[in-house]
Amino acid sequence: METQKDIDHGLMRRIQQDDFAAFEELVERYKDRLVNVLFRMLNERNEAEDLVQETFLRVYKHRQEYDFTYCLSTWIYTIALNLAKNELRRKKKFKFFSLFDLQAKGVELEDTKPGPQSLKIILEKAIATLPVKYKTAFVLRDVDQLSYEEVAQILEVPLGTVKSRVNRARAILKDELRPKLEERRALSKGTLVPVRTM
Amino acid sequence: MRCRKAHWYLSARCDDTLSEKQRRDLAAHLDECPSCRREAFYFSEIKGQTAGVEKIRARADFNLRLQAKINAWEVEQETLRDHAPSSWRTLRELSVWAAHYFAGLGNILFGQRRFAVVGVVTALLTIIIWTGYDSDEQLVDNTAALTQELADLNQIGYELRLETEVADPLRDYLISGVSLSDYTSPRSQPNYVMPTIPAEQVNAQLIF
Repeated sequence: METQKDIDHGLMRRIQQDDFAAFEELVERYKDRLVNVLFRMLNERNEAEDLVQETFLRVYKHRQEYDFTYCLSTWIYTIALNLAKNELRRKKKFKFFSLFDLQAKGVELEDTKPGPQSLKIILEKAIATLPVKYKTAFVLRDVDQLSYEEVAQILEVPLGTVKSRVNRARAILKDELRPKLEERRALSKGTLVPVRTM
Repeated sequence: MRCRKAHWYLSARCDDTLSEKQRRDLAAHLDECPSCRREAFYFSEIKGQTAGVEKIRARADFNLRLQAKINAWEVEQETLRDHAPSSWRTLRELSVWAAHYFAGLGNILFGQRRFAVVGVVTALLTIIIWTGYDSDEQLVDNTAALTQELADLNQIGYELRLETEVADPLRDYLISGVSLSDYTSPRSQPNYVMPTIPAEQVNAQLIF
């Protein structure tokens, strides 16, 4: 049976022979996953899409240099995450705020409204505020469902380090969400009655 | 089992990577530790909620925009390939220009032909060696350009020397206190002809 790696390598061989249909197929396979991961990293959809486009452009430019001893997915994720890290570094260096940015982040402004928030929204906000190294490992492992081995290859760190970072990220999230989680736990045990708010 | 170890196992349980023995040990610990049972609930909730987090998808025009970027890059590459001079050509042109200036400056500053001769020989050698990789047409073009350039530079050199010949008697006149109105320039003579380099002389240099 053909594995994901075999399919990717088959596509890459065709791309190396300037088969653009194969490149389009590769884009279809990875674009949504990459946009999702980079969105979680950057918290900005347009930037995430731009960087994913840049990733595919680099894959196309350097298609002849691809080393078939590695997983294609690892190569693509490494390019995308390096671009995201550079972008985060650049943002940190030139940190400024503008009204246009705030308007663009309509979802975030909506989230700041007072009132009860769902656990999912709180979780998304908590993921966004994780330190980069924990967030990267957590997003790849728990959001994008990659194996620990793949995450270790992409981040170029030992397997144990990845497990430790994912565990640390989960612990941070658990602390952030503790009040909400406690509320749900009480509800599940029947000790709290849900109150419908207007 | 200690609670700290149990917390580590709880994270591993989310990934379903515990061995059978570890699973049994953890279950035994959870039975007797309410604090860790609460932690276990938290971990499983976070795992469940994370799996349900909204998946952001690429916009519908993603492929079109990517295609446009790739097309733009390919056009840029083709333009560069067509118009950028090759490194060989750049080196060749640099060497020819260096030889021109060496020959021309030597002639102008010192009035000595040997600089010009060395310059011409250097230029010709570089052209012959490097145009070996190029067409005969290019060799002819380069040689013609060099010949013209040398002729121009030698002409300037002659004219400068002529100016010196004119300036020296003028200086003598001025030093001796004679009025400037008494000085007559050789150029003002009715049958004065500006000297030029005979074409054979230029060709002779190139042949040498």
